[in-house]
Amino acid sequence: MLTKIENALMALFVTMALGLVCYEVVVRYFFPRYLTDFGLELTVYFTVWAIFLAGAPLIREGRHVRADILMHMLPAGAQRLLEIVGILVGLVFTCVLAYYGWLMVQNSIDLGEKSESSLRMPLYIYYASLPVGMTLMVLPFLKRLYDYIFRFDPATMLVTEDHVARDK
Amino acid sequence: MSPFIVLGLLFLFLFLGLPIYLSLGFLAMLLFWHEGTPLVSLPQLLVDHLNSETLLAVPLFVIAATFMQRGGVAGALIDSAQVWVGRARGGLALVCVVACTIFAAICGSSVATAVAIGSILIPAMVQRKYEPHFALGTVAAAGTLGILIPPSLAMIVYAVIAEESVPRLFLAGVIPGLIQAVIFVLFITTYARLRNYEIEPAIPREQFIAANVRALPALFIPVIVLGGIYSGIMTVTEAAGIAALVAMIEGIFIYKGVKARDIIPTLAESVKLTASIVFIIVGALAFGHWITSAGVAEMLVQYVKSLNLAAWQFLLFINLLMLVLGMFLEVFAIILIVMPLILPILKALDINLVHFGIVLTINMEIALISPPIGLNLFVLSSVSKQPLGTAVRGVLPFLLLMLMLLALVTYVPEVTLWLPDYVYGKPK
Repeated sequence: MLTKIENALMALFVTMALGLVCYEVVVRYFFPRYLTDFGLELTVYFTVWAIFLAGAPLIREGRHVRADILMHMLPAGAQRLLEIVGILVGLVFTCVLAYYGWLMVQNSIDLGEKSESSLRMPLYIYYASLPVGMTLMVLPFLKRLYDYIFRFDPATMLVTEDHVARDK
Repeated sequence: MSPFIVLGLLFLFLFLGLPIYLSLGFLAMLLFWHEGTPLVSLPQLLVDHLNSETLLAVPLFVIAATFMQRGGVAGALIDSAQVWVGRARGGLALVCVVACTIFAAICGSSVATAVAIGSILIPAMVQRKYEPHFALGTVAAAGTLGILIPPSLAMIVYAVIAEESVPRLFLAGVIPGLIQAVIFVLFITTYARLRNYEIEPAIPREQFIAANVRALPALFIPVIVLGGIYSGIMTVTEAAGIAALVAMIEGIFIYKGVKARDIIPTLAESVKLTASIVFIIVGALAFGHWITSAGVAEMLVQYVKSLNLAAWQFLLFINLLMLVLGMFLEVFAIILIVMPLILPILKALDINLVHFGIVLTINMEIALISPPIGLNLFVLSSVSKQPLGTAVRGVLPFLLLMLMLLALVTYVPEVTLWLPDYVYGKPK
């Protein structure tokens, strides 16, 4: 269910971006008077929103790129410990970025910042993508932390060669 | 904080298996905090940098590549390559090089190219009694063309960091890419003769025509992308958008590899693939900001100058460094970790950034096939259910050929720069 909603949102945003890019090309050559000055701007906003939404599923699927060469040579206990430290670092990073990200959004609302095009869209709508993405990433990190501490299963939760190939 | 401690920490984080975006991003966060920079400037820096048109091309090219790979385009390209070169001795391996070269002109990723071509051709080659290591090695090595022949995701990411022109970089990759394909063909022909591989039967005329007609829609895509960019009709991002649209339509309606219910998951998968790159870019931007603002860039330049290195010596050093990093890290990680550090040095030594972009790309191709962490080797050994060692053994001769190509391209800049200079004129 969660996966479906995430997939649908990411697909929706990126389709909007794709649609806008193609629309711009067609319109510029065939119907120049319908050309807007905010197409590119909106495309960027849609794309960046889609990308930040993908942060959480990438954690859940363990697919953020890393150098796991050393990891799969270590014994199970050491791997588990490193994994837990990594998750804690991730939690600090996402929480700090989420907190200051929301501050940034708040500042932008207070200042009433608007985009440069004639759309004059409030910039905080774009800025919010970062704190929203970071906040959503906290949950799968917590789930992963819980799994590695209380539900540790060496058979499925260790880095192996197969695992490395499947991820990519 | 001393730059050596910082670099030491970075590599410690990386080798302890911390995700790369976290290694870079968390370190940058610590440095911001340590130097008393208000932390709210960190998210601000990130969203401002992500607000870039060049970066938009990445998800769009990824969508095109994903639909191409899943849509069954590779099969059509292979069939058409087969009717042209399949009859020679070692024909299937030659088909592999030709199909990879063409697929690379549609798709900007080497792993996607190797998987798309390999999942069809490796079983076929093994069935025709080619040694498995030769089959895997050929696909792994030819698949690397994905990032050298335009379009190329690696070059776009490089262009974002180095602030170079994407169309120029794309053009600069064409001749080295073709040279790579030609030396692979020469090697395969010789090897097949030594091994006395069988010659395939002749192909009836109807089949020849049918295979080529079927491949036409796929061949149409590079025509739009490259034609669109170089005629000046479209920007790189727009060309990527049109390529994505056409790839979706062809994957769904012509080659029918993607079913209606697969569309949303395929789009979401493309976003996730993009995000796994962009998150690293985000980390690298934050880290790169510290490198410039803390004066580390200046320090590095002074240091390299004090060594009195000539440009060629520095390039040699960088090539060696990349080869070592390439054994352990993956492509975008290397570009994004190394570029912020060496960009100021490259400028100080007056090294052409388009030329360097191609040197870097060839290094990244080598990284993809150098053991122990060459991604193409892993992916192909998993696709073909052959042990990793088989892929490593098979790719070694190609690795040597690639090193020769690297030396040629590094020390003869004309190989890369001639075409872009010819098309656009020399930059001022």
